[in-house]
Amino acid sequence: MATSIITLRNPLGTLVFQETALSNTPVQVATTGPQTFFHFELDNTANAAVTYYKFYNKASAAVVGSEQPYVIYAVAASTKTAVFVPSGLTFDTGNSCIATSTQANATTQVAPSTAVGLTILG
Amino acid sequence: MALVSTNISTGLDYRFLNFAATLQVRTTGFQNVFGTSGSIYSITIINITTSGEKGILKLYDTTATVTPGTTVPSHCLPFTYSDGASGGTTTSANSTTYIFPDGLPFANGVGVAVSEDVGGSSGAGYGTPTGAANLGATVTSCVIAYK
Repeated sequence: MATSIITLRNPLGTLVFQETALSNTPVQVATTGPQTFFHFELDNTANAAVTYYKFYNKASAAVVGSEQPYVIYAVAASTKTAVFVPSGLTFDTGNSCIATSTQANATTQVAPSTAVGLTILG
Repeated sequence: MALVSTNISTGLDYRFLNFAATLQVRTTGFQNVFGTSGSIYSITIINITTSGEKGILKLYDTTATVTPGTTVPSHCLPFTYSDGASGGTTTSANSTTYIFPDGLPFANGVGVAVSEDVGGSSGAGYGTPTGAANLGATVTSCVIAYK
């Protein structure tokens, strides 16, 4: 897993979050809020099954299985999906996320066969 | 290379669906709204309200009946509201737009519903519509581009 958060220089000031190997262990994107995101790159090319990216509106790591996500994207097998949100998607308190092959918010969120990629612009 | 211009009335192969007031019936999901598999390319939701309620648009990759609170959605997309004064995630925007340049594929069909929450762990329901009925009443427009 390699996580990086880069803030571009002014006047852009855009935060670029990148996780090269996201799985079912929560990764913290933002520990404070509000944080607004405008673009998501969801890379599931390494898996032959759908992967669900689940984002939590939390300042700390999500407690997977007992807390509900705020956003869910399903990315088809062996594909990469881009999502633009021109008006911004605001997380009030912070953001953490997981990737899982489990569609429901069941107690156990199964890891995808291969960890997936995630890039966020905020 | 010659410059080619295509008349939009004959060249456009997207389908546009506007739920408008029909999405207000939020306790009932909408089943296979496009009647075919395909991909969503954009969604715009306008949620003008004085109640301050955000909402979650739920999309289901199925041709079967969609029962909010029971059927597990594929995608959960939050949308905001106009006043931004209270309740949930706040912005001053009164519309939320999602754009999927490569498309968001649905192998079966598209079911649609709205609710206040995504829904928690098993046993807590999966986005059972909660709260007052004014959530549905505030969704004035939901336009989906599909092909």
